[in-house]
Amino acid sequence: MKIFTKLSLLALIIFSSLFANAQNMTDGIFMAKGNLCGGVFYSNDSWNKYWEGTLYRENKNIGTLTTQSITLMGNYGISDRFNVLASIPYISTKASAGVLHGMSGIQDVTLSVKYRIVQAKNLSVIGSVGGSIPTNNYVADFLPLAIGMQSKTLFGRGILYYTLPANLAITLNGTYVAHSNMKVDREMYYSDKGYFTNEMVMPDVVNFGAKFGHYSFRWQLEATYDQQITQGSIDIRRNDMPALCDKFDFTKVGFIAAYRVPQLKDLQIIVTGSKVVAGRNVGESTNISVGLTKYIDFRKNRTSGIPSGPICRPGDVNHNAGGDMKEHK
Amino acid sequence: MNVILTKDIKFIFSTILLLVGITACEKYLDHDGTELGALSPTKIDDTAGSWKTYTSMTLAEFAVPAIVPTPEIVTSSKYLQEIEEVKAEVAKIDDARRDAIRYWNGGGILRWNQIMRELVAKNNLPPAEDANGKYPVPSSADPDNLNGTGTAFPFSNPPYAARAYAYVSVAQYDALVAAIGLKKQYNRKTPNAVDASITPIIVSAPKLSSYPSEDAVMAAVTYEFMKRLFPQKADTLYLYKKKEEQKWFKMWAGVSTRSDIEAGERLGKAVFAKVFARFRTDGMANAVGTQVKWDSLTKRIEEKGEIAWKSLEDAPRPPMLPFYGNVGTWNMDKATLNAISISVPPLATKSTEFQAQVAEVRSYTDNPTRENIAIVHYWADGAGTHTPPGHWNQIAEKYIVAAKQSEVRTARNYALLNTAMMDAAISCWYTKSYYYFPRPTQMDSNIKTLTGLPNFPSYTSGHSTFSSAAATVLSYLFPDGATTFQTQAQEASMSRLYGGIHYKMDCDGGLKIGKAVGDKAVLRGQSDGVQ
Repeated sequence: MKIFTKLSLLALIIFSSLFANAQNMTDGIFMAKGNLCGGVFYSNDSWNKYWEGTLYRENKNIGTLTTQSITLMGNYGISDRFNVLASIPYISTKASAGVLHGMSGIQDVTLSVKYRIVQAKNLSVIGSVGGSIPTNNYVADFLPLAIGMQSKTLFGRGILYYTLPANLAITLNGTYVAHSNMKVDREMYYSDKGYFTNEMVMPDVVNFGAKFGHYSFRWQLEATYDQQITQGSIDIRRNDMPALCDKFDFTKVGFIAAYRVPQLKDLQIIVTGSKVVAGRNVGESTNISVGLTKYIDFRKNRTSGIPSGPICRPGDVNHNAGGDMKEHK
Repeated sequence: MNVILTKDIKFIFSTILLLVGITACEKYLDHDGTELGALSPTKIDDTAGSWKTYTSMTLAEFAVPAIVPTPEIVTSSKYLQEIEEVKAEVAKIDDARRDAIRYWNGGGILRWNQIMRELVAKNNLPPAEDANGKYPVPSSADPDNLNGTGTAFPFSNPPYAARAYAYVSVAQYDALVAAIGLKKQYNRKTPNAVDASITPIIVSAPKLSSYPSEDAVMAAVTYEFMKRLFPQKADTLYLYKKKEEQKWFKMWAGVSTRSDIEAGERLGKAVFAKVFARFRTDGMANAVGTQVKWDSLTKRIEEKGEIAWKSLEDAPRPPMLPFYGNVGTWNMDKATLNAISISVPPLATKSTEFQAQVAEVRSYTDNPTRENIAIVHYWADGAGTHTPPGHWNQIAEKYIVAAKQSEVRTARNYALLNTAMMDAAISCWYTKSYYYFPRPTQMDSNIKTLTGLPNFPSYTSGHSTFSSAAATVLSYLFPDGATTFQTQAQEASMSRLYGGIHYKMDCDGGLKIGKAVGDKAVLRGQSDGVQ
């Protein structure tokens, strides 16, 4: 254990100096040691109303802004309580009205590590750090059509995961995302004042999330709530376009539904949906995503009774063959 | 178990420390691009009083009791009281004053140019449509839109900005010429030269004589103009604060007295009044037009069997200042400018040559390269920025700073540059309304643009006209940079083609006409008495 802690700290430092933010990195589930969960997700996000600062409006010269993405993700169990996660999306944007050109390309790679710090009865206390880095010089300073922010991030996240009877669980998470300043293609912009440089301050971001629902080997049905608070104070000015340094805040509600299909060797189909219900400088977007994930056990010697696949809490036994995970203790 | 928990706690602390270390840094930029070192001119230009001004003026008209009377001699008791005041102010030095002294010691004309570009950017936002699909016209009578029925004033779009830069530069230049002429005439010593016990703070001992204060002249003439160009309450307060700083900082630094400053302020106001008289009557008031006039522009083209420009915005927006082409010119008479403006006609929309030009635009936007997008965005200078004329002021700033030019020479060079660019704007807008040519996207709706589509006719390209005029003037002023300026103008011009908002002929026509307009400013520069 001593050695492991040292190793994990070392890993933390290495990873945190490189990378940040990612999806599905916010839950209390771990991959068992030697197991990989790999997946691909398609997501469709669209809005036709947005908040210009606090002013709720439409823009007939944008129409409906649609962002589609295909994301590859992976989650590997170094141990039952220490996981490495990565994701990388390809993103494409399009406006249904007006003359502006859509954008597309590979965005940022996100890497993080997740560590179960404490398990006290049914409560897991989990810490995660990670970061993200743009994979290429895609155009960022072209909101709302840009595919990303072209900013390096570093994040720290705390997760509380509490299991209840009947495979119900509640997950709370909070994340602080530090953004690096970024370079744009121009040498003048106005935000809180005039800047005559191509460098832009990117405000840091705080995220809170909560999930509640059923999680078993076969099924996942959860309701989700997410909130983002950007630390800056710059609003889109009246009838201006959004800028990268704006205060992008939102409150979002949604669901996750997943089923592991026995006939397809336990291939998991995941459908998520969410809707922004309140915001500032963001679109009132509706998001639907569909994903396929698969667990692969890389261990050479698979002994019966050693967990394989996802672990909802320590001590989960092998839950292949469709058996629901047993209530622990 | 306890051991593990201890390790866990260490782990948590390590993580927290790591995160705090990463995120504790404050969010600001080390450089915002406004940094200027102390101005120490290569030439002091103390003979600038004989340089040719834009408004007709004589020193005698300002050397009157109400403006800049003969000053008290430095041995008078009144003056000695002023010296005591200077000493008292010097003793009050604090960090805020040191910051102000350092700021303005970078050069008054350069500072005001930065401030003006900032306010242009701040106010450069098109009005939003109202509930009836109409666009309110910004009104200086209600700049903050307190009635809520209109929109904020101004919308400092490129023509508005070009005019703002030109008038403020001209007013500053004329005011400094007058100030230096009067300085030579009165030749009053600076307080630190009169009383050796005063040691200048931060600033060097001035090389020009003291009366009237050129800083107060700049502060007054600029403030008076800019508060009319940017009359929103917050902007006026911001300008007032800057004005007060520049007006007094040399007294805080120990090198100006109250009478130097007060005379300077009166002179600045007097020169402002002369330049403002031209400003009020230059035809800008009619630049917006009316529905009937807009319709007549369309009708005139359609009667010729051509396709007229139309707004592609939803709701359709009236063209931006379509009668700006009739505003008064600077470096040539109106007839000359009009002739230049229509000297290069566009292709007919039915011609095969034109079809090839549409296809060329499409070829750039169908699969844009990252390099081209960077060029498009570098030169876009669209809504919310200091506009193309502002960009060329930014370019000029580097050369002016490197050449360590005096305040009056800086003002003269900005005046040449900015009058050339206002003439370029007038010429280009004349051309645009004359041919009223449709944008590429109007001809081929598959052309999607990589920057905002300007809401006015296509021919000629404003960026090309501005850039060519600016590059011509800057090449005259800074011959060592000529190749760079020409390359930049070409790139600025092509950026509009890459972005899908202009045909190649718009760019070529704009470059050609811009050069002709710039040449007229160079002619003025060659005969204004500046060595």
